[in-house]
Amino acid sequence: MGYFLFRRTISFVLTLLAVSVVVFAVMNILPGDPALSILGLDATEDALAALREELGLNEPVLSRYLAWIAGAVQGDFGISQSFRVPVSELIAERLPLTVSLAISGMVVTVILAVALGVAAAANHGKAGDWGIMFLSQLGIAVPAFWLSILLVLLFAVKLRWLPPGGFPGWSEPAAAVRSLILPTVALALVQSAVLARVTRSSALEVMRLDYIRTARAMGFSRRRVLWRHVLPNALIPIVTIVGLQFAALVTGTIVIENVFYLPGLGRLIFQSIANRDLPTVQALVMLFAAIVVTANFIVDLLYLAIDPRLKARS
Amino acid sequence: MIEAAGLTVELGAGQAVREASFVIAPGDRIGIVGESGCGKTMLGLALMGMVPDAGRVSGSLTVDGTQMVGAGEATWQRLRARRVAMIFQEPMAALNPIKRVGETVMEPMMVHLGLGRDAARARALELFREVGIPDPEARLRQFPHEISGGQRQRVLIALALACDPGVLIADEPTTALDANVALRVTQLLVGLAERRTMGLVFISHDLAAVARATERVMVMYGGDIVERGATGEVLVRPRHPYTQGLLSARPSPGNMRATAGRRGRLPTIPGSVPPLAELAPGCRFSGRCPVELDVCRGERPPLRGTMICHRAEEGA
Ligand code: SF4
Repeated sequence: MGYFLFRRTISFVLTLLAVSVVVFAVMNILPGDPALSILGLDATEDALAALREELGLNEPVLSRYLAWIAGAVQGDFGISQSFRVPVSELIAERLPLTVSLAISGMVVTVILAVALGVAAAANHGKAGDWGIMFLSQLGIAVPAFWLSILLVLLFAVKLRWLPPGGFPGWSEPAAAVRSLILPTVALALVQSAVLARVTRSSALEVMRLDYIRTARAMGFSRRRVLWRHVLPNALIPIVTIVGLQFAALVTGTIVIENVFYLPGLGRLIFQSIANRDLPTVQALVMLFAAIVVTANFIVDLLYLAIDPRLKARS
Repeated sequence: MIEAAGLTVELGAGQAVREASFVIAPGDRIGIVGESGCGKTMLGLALMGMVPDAGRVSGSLTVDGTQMVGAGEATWQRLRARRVAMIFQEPMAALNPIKRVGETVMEPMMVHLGLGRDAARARALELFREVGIPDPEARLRQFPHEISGGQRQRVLIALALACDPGVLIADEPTTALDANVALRVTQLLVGLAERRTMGLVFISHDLAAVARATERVMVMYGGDIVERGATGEVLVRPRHPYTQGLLSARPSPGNMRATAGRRGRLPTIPGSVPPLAELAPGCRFSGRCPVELDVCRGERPPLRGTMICHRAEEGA
């Protein structure tokens, strides 16, 4: 157990390091002059030289990388070229929105998917099962941005229940939450369609096992058998997929924030790429990767919490 | 107290149990023997209301006076564990792998008997002692994968006893265990049935274990109870051709005790149990029976004395 944690922590740190190398390499070493890509093809030679100096491009690659890492560890990602403020400030302003969106998206996904998946498994082969499977097939086939537009048309334009986009800021909590409902649903629907299928097949597999028959033989109600015996045992594949989906959700916020005009990290990365704002893009890519790696690390810890057999093996 | 009369379980095109009638009174120890696929397990499941969804149960089955044929799932749920409990063949697979075994045994007491955690825990501890689990305090906190097969079967027995059932159905309880462990588990079940005056239905193809565990025995073939009687009588002087075939593979009925403790080898009767739907409408054993008569295939033999066989009147 302790050894497992130790190994996982080491590999967590190493993965983050590897990610930082790749991110840095892609942005700095690959052919192409950052100064040129920032200023454009018709920049003067003097301007380019000045910018290279400002960006520290004349120093050796290794020391630039080390300087970047040293800064990043302390939360210093340099100055944004387009916004002219520290990148860390830009991130700090937008992070809460994106994190709220991703977490609420994940929570809705899990609740919806587990409820539907377990209901489908409990009604295996009956109408309810077919209905849920059909809906989830539909959900998987539909692209998130298209679904977002549909949701906006229906709930914002036609019914006028919810705002079509934009974000009033956290100073107005009720309005802020309202403006996050549609984006959350748009994010969650597609993901929960996938997860509901995983939940269903995992639950069906567990339901065939001997210890479920034991639980039934003990006179427990179907509901109790389902939620207390089947579901906990069916969680391992569910958690695996949730880990992967969290990554998809975090990157999904890029699309969703742009559709709904939400000032989060996703929108920031979009703008930074358009503005060729190298330090900001680099920091954001690193941040997104770190979130994904961290999610996988947490999933590994969850396995341990769920299945005592893994503790014995590790 | 379980009373079955004409209890029948239809599965698809065939009858997995055909018109079974018997009584299990408190303290009775009854064996059900036969090859696999002869309906033993299905009969056990029928007594728990747990035949597969596709199965249809008819006839009469009363548990403590309540008619259970046609009873809904909710009615059965009130009976299971409290009146009738069942343990299964594979102790490896029959315990929830992610629950501590103590929690598993406590759960029915908390759900059905309304005990609090502490009371349930104290009773689980008592049960673990009763079924002979060493160091029960420590065992309570262990997971199934941390204990041996024999200990797991004891945990399952403790679980089955948790709500003090009147009848315990044990489906091949010793088949997956080593010979010595199997012997001790058999002795444990006998002791428990006696101490608690609990009915015990011991389903097994291991004739030695059945001889040791039970007072009465029912021999099943093709869903029929073909012969029944006192265990010593039936296993020593089998009268039905199928029972005779079942026993002929064993050295000799007389020295059964000498071979006791060795694993019951599968008896060899020429041929194998045909699928349910292909069984003859008359005597299920016709086709494999060495002393078959012309009437056997088409006409169902009547119950004569202790067996159903057309040769019964000859005193076969
Ligand atoms: S009824 Fe006929 S076929 Fe069946 S066991 Fe008796 S003799 Fe054999």
